[in-house]
Amino acid sequence: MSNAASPLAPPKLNGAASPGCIIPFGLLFAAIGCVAFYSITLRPLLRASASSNWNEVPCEILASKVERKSDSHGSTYRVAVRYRYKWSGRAYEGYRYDFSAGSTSVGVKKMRAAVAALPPGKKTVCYIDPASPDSAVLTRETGFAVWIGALTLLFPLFGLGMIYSSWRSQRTDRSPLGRALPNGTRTASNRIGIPPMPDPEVPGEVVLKPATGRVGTFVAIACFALFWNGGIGFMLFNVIKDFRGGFMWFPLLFMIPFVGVGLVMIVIALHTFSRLFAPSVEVRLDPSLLRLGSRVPFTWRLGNRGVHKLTIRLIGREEATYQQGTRTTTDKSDFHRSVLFDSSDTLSLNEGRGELILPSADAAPAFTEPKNRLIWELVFTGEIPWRADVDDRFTLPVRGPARPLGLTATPEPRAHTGGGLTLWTVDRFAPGETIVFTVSREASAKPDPLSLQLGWFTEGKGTRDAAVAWREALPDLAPGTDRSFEVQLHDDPWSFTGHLVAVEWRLEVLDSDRNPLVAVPLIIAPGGQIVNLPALPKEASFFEKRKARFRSQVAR
Amino acid sequence: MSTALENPFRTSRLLSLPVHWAGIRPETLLARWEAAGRRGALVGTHGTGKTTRLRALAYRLVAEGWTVIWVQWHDDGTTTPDDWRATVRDAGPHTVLCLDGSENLGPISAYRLHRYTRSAGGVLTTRHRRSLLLPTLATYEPDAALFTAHAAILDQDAREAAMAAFAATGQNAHEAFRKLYFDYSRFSSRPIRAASASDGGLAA
Repeated sequence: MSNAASPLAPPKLNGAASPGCIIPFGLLFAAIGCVAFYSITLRPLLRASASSNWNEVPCEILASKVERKSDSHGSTYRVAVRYRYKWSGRAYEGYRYDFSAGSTSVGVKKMRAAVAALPPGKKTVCYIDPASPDSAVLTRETGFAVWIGALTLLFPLFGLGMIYSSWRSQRTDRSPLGRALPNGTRTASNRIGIPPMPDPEVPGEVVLKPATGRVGTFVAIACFALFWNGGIGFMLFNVIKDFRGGFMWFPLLFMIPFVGVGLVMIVIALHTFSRLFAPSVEVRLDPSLLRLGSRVPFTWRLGNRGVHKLTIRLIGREEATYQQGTRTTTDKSDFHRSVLFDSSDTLSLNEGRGELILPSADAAPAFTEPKNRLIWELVFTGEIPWRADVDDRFTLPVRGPARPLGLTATPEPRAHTGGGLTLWTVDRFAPGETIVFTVSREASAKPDPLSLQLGWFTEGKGTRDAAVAWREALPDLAPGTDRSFEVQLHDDPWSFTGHLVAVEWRLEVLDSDRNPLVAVPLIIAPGGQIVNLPALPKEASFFEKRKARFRSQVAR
Repeated sequence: MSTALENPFRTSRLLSLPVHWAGIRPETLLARWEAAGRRGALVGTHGTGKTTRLRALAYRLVAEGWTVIWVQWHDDGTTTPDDWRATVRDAGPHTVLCLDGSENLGPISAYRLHRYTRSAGGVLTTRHRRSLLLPTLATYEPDAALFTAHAAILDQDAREAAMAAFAATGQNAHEAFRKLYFDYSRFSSRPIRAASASDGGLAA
C-alpha cells in the first residue's frame, strides 16, 4: 500500500491553516488591548495635558481616605477625597484627586502619604476647568499606574502579529506553484518555504537577496518576548506585592521556569535586535554561470561596522521533510562545505571580489521539490566582538555542467520482460542524451492498450516526490509486433544518492489500469554513474560557537 | 555512513510495513464503529500507530463501497486538503470522513468541525485522549515487542538497536525509526540492497 497509489492521499499542498479563527482572535486581542490602553493610560494622559491651562483656586478638604475595593482577584485602592471650592461666587464640591483611572494595586504607600497630607479642614488649592467649573482636580499628576497601563499595548501588538502572520501564510498559499520546466519540475523560487532564487536561465549579473529577513525575525521574537514577559512580570509583581513579612514560596517556585523562559526570550530578542545593526551583505553574480565544475566570479559589499573577521563559504545541503503521524519533521545533512574567503584584515572586508568554485565531483545540481531538496548556499559569516555576527545566506540555483561527462562506452541493450512484453533498452545515460528503446509483445499475449512513461522519484528519509518527464499511450501494439521510441532526456535531476535523499529514474510500461508490467531502473547522471553525495559531520551548534567565541574574547 | 538508497529504514520501506492490529481486528473495530452510529475514535499517544491503522481502515471502507475523505491536520499548521472546511461540509450520507490530527484545531474550528461532520455517513478519527463527543473504538499503548518486530522486518540485525532506540525516544515509534535511520551505519555494516521495481515508484 504505497502512498503514491493511494486514492486517499491527495497531493499534500503545504497550505497553511485557514486564518478563519486566527484573525478573529487577533482582532479580539487587538480590540481588548486598545480599549484597555485608552482607558488606563491614554485618556488620563490626555486629561492631564488638557488641565495645564485650568485655573488654580483655593479649596478646603472636607474628607479624605484610602478607599479599598476587594474581590476574588485581590484588593485595589484609590484616594477618595472631598473638597469645597468657590468659582464666580458659587460654591462647588470636588471629588477627583488626580487623573488616574479607577482604583489600582500600585502605589498604595503614596496614596496613604497623600491622604495623610490632606486632613479634613486643611486649606489648599485645586484646579478647575473654567469652561466647566464643576470639573476640578486636586493634583494634575497622572499616577504611576498610568505608565504600568502602557503594558496593555502588548495585547494589540500580539493581536496584530497574529493577523499579520495569518495574512502572510494565506498570501503564500495563493502563490502560483511556478512555471513548468521541460522535465516537469518547477522553479524553486515559487516553492513554499524555499528561499527566493534568481533565474539561472537569464544571463547577466544580479544582486542576490539573503534567504531570511532580519527585521521580520526581530519583530516576531520581540513581540513574543514582550507578550510573555509582560504577563509573567505582572504575575511576579503581584506575588512580590503580597509580601507580608514572608513570601508565599510555592507561587515563587512555580514561576521560576516561566521567568527563565522570559529571560532567554529577552536575550534572543536582544541578539536579533543587535543583528539589525550588523552590516548587510550585497552580493552580485551572474546566476546563468552557476554550473557544477565552473568558477563563477562574484563581488560583495558590506557596510563594515565593526566586522573583525569575514568568512565566505559555499555549502551544499540535503533536506528531507516527512510526516510522522501528524508531525512534520525536516532533517538536514551537508554534502559540501568549502571556504571561499577567510580574512581578519579589516581593510579588505568592506568589499571584494571572489571566485565561486563549484565542485565537479561528489555534487549534484540544485533539486528543490516540496519534500526533498538539494540546496546550494553562499554563506557570509562576519564576526563582530560582543555583538551579533553577520550571518547572511544566499541560495544559488546551481545547474549541471553545460556538457556533462558522457559514457565512455555505450552499453549493450538488455531485455526486460513482464506481462507478455519485452522492453529492450540501455539502462544508463548521461543527462541530455537520447534514450532509444523497443517494446515488443509476445504473439500469445492479449492486445490490451498500454502506455509508457519515463520519470523519477525520490527515496530516503523524506516523503516521496515524483514526476513523469515523458508519457505516451500505446493503444494498438498487436501481438507479435514491436515498436521503437526515441526520447530526449533532460538535464536534471540526476540519479544521485545522499545520506537523506536519493533520486531514481525509471522507464515503465503500464497496463490499462496503470499498473506497471515492466519497470526498468535507469541511471541518468554524468558518465552513466550514480552520484554519491558524502555526509559531512555536523557543524557546531550556534550556542557551541558562541561559547567558544566568548571564551576566546574573555581570554584576549 | 549509509546512503538514502541503502538505508533499510527509509520512508518508502516504513510505509510498506504490514499493519498490526494489536489484538483488535479491523472487523471488530468496524463493528464497534457501526454499533456506535458510525462514529468513533482510535485513541493513543504519539507514535502508537493510530494514523497507520486509520489509513488501513479507510482502505477497507473504500473496498466496502464507501466514499472516504481523508483530512489531516499537521502540527505545523498545514492541512490536507488545504480547504478542509469545504471538504468536510460537502460530505454526504455515503461518505466516511477519516480525520487525523483534529486535536491540532483551535476550539472554534473544532466546534465547526463537529457541526460540519453531522451530515456525513460516518466519522473515524484519531485522538491522543478520549473524547466526550466520540466513542472510543480502541486505545493503543506503546509496544516495544511490536516495534522491535517491525524493525527486524526492515533489517534483521536491528533488534538490539531497535529496543535501545525505542527506550531512548520515550517509546515513540516515529522517533525511534528516525533514530534507527540515522544510527544505521553504527549498528550494521553489511551491504543493503538498493530500491527495486517492487518498491513502487512512478505508477500512480
